[in-house]
Amino acid sequence: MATEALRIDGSQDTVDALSAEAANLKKKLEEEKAKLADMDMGEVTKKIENMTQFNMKARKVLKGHHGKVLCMDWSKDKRHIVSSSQDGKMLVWDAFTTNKEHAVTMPTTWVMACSYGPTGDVVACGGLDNKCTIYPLCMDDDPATKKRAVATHTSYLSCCTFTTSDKQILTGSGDSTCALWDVESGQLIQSFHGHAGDVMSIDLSPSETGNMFVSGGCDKVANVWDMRTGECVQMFEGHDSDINSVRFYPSGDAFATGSDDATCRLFDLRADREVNCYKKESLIFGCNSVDFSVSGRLLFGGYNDYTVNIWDVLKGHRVSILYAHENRVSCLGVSPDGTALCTGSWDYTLKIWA
Amino acid sequence: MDRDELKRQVETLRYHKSLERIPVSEAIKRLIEFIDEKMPEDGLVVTPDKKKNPWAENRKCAIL
Repeated sequence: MATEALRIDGSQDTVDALSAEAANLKKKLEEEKAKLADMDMGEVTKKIENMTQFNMKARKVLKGHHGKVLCMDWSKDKRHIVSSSQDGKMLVWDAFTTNKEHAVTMPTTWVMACSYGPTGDVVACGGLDNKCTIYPLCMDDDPATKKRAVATHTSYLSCCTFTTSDKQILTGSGDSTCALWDVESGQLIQSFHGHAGDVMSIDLSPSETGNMFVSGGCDKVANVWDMRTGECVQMFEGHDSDINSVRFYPSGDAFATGSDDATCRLFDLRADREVNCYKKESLIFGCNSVDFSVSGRLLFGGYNDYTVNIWDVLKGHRVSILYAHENRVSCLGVSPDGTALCTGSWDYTLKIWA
Repeated sequence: MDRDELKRQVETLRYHKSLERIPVSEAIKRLIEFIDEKMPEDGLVVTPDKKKNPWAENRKCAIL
């Protein structure tokens, strides 16, 4: 008996046995998820009124980058914006006046990631240098004099975001991992392994008890992670090409993705599956960036055809198009108070829409 | 995939299988409830009052 049990235990660890078990578990998971797909979103939302016409206009144009704008982030003060570009510059803007308040030249081109700290006193950025560098903002000094490299990956930095304080920063990289770092010491707190391709985008859960974040990447998969344990707690498949952007629904119960397959999708955490797909036959260009309006009713997508498509999250229709830029829309974000949308483009400019 | 990666994948999948899920209809109802509550304050859905909108144009006459 005992020897037989031992043999079975041993055999469970062979590569063949593990592969078989993984395949079996995947099949069972799919079956269980399929059972809960009792309705499609269109049916549930049929009786909800269509969105009435609304009118967003370009209110401000931020000019100053001499290369493709690759990333932007709002300050919590609802007024300042940090942006980074292909020419190696990071700029901090006062969006009300369109003035540039700080300019930092990075020792690299393609600064693909930038992020504002929650206190508004610090920004972080990185790109082809494989690092995430922190710059304290102070009116008297050039931010570059106090810069500090915090995170190092083995490939390019694609995204970064501060957690609830300026003390920790979460990064995503072309080395297919995400990592949580202590800003002060530069020490790695937790790393997150599970993607089989470059990580392109991360977003923190807005729910206070969450301690979760979502990541999307070139393996076409979106993963939800527990920050404390480093475990991948949920996995979402469905896209046919790279996921370029992930963003939590404002309640924290779902998230949206934008992909090179020209679709945006909505994944619900509690249903553990895709619940809507936002696409049109005429729409064949990839989506680089997504964000929700504060109520979650609208989903903004920035596309390679220079437009922003605005989707009704519930009904699944496109409610409007912004002919936003003269080149790809690479990044976008709704201001923290929900009054404005900022878009950044390969045409070297950023615009504020309201 | 090597053995350790496979082992990790199986452990992750086991965990995913143990998750509790709700039907899609229920999940969507909860999303709708959130939207219904928040939509009146959504400045990109309901155009805010000019005085409250920091991005609205100043309507002063240019000649004066």
